[in-house]
Amino acid sequence: MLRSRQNAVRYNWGFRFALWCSILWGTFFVAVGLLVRDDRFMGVAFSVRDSFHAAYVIESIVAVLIAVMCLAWLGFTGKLLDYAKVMFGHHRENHMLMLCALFGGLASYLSYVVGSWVDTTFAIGMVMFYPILGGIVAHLWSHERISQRCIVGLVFIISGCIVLYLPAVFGTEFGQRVLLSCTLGLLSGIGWGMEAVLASRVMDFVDSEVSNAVRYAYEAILWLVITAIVLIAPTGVPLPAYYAEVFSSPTSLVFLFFISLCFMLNAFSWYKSFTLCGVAKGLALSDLSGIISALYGMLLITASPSWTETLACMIMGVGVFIVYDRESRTAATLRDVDMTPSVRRLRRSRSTEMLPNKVYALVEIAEKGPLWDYDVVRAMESRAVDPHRKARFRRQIRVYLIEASAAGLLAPIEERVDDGSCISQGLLLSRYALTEYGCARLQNMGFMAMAEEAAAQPGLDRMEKVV
Amino acid sequence: MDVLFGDAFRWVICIIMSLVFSGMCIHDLYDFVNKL
Repeated sequence: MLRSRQNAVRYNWGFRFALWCSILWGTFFVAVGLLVRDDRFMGVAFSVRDSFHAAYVIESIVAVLIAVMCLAWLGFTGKLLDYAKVMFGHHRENHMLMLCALFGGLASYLSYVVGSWVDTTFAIGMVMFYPILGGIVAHLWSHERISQRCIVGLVFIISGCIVLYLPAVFGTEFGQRVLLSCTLGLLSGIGWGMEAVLASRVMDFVDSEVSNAVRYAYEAILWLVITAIVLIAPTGVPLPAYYAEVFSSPTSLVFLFFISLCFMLNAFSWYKSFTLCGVAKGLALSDLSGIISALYGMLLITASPSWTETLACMIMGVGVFIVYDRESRTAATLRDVDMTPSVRRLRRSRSTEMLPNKVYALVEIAEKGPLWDYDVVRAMESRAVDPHRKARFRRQIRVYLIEASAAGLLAPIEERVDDGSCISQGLLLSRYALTEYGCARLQNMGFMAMAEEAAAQPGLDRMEKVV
Repeated sequence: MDVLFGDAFRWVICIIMSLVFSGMCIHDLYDFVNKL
C-alpha cells in the first residue's frame, strides 16, 4: 500500500515536471518569436538567408547563458562537485552527454531557424512527432513500458498536432517556405527525440540537473568554437554585425536572459520527467507546448485562434488525459527488465573519488549486497559538500535510489516507515537489492566489473576493493 | 489599440509570465526532494 502510494507520488511529480516543461517551452518560444517578429530581428529586417544567422546568434548566446545559469543552480543546490566529476571524468556517461549536446544543440538551432523564418508556433508544431520516435527508441533500447493506453493517447496528441498544422502545410500562406521548414522541423524533432533517450540512459547514473549542466557546457563549447572559427576565418558571414546588434541593445539582452532562464528550467523539468514517469510520457506531455504557444498568441494578440486550432487543442487535451494512465501510476518500474536481485560478485572499476553521488549509491549496494536506503545515506554522509544542509543531502540520496528503482536498476525487497531515527519521520524506508538489469548496466557503463573476470584483466590493478 | 497592444506591451507581458512561471518551477525543482 505504502509502496503503491510512493510510486503514484513519483509518477505525479513526473507529470508535473513534464507540464512545467511544456509551459516554459511555450513561454520561451513566444519570447523568441517576439525577438524575430515579422521578419525582423530586433527591429532590423532580414532575409531568409539571414534567419540562419539570426538563429545562430540567439542559439549561441542562449547556450552560453544557460551553461552559466546551470553552474549557479548547481552551486545553490550543492551539486558542483558532481558536475566536476562528470565533466572531467572522460567516461562513457560523459561521451553520451556530448552526443546529447550535439543532438539537442542542432535541434534547438534548427527550431530557431524555423521560428525566425516562418513562425515560432509552427516551429514547435513541426517537432511534435518526437514522442513517437523517442518512445520507440526508448522501448527498443531501454525496454521502456509503453501500454496500449499510452499508445492511444500518443495517437490523439499527434492527431491534434496534425489538425493544428494541416492548414499551414497545405495552405498558401507560407508558400515555398513550407518544404524546407518541414525538413528542418523533422531533423529538429529527431534531434530532440534522440537527446531524450540518450539523456534517460545517462540519468540512470547521474543526477538530472548535473546531466543538464554538463550537456549545456558542451553545447556552449561547441558554439563558441564554431563562432571563433567563423570570426577568424574569412567566411564573409555577417555574424559580428548580429552580435553587435544584440549586445548594443539592453532590451535584447534582457530578453535573451529570460529566454535562457525559461529554457534552462524547461530542460531541467524535461530531464526530470524522464526519470520519474518515462521518456514516452515525458515527451508526450511536453507536446502541450503547442497549446501553450497558441494560448500565448491569443493573450498577446499576435494570432487569433481558428476553429482548427481550437479543435486541435481539445484533441491534444484528451490525449494527455489518456496518457495519464491511472493503472501505470502505481507500477514499480518504468521498464520491462529483469528485476531479479543479482547474486553476482562485482568490484569497482573506478576510483571512488571520481564517482558521482547517484552512481556511488548504486555501487555501495552492488558491493555490499542489499542495503537499507538510510544505510546508503550514512555511508555517503561524508560526501555532503555543505555540512549545514545534510538533511537535504540525505533526502537527495533517497530520491536517487527511488529513481534507480523506477528505472529497474534496484529492486525494493523490504520496507518500513521511518520513526524519525533514520532520515525523517513518516518517510517510507526501503531495503534495495541490485537487479540483474542494474548489474548489467553498471558493468556496461564501466562502473563495475565481475570480480573473477576483472582479476584476469590487465590494467585493473588500481581497483580499490574486491568483494 | 496599436499602443495598447504594441510590442512594448507584449514584451512586458512575456517577461512577467516568464518570471512567474520560472519562479513556480524553481520552487518545484527545489522542493521536489522534500516531497517524494
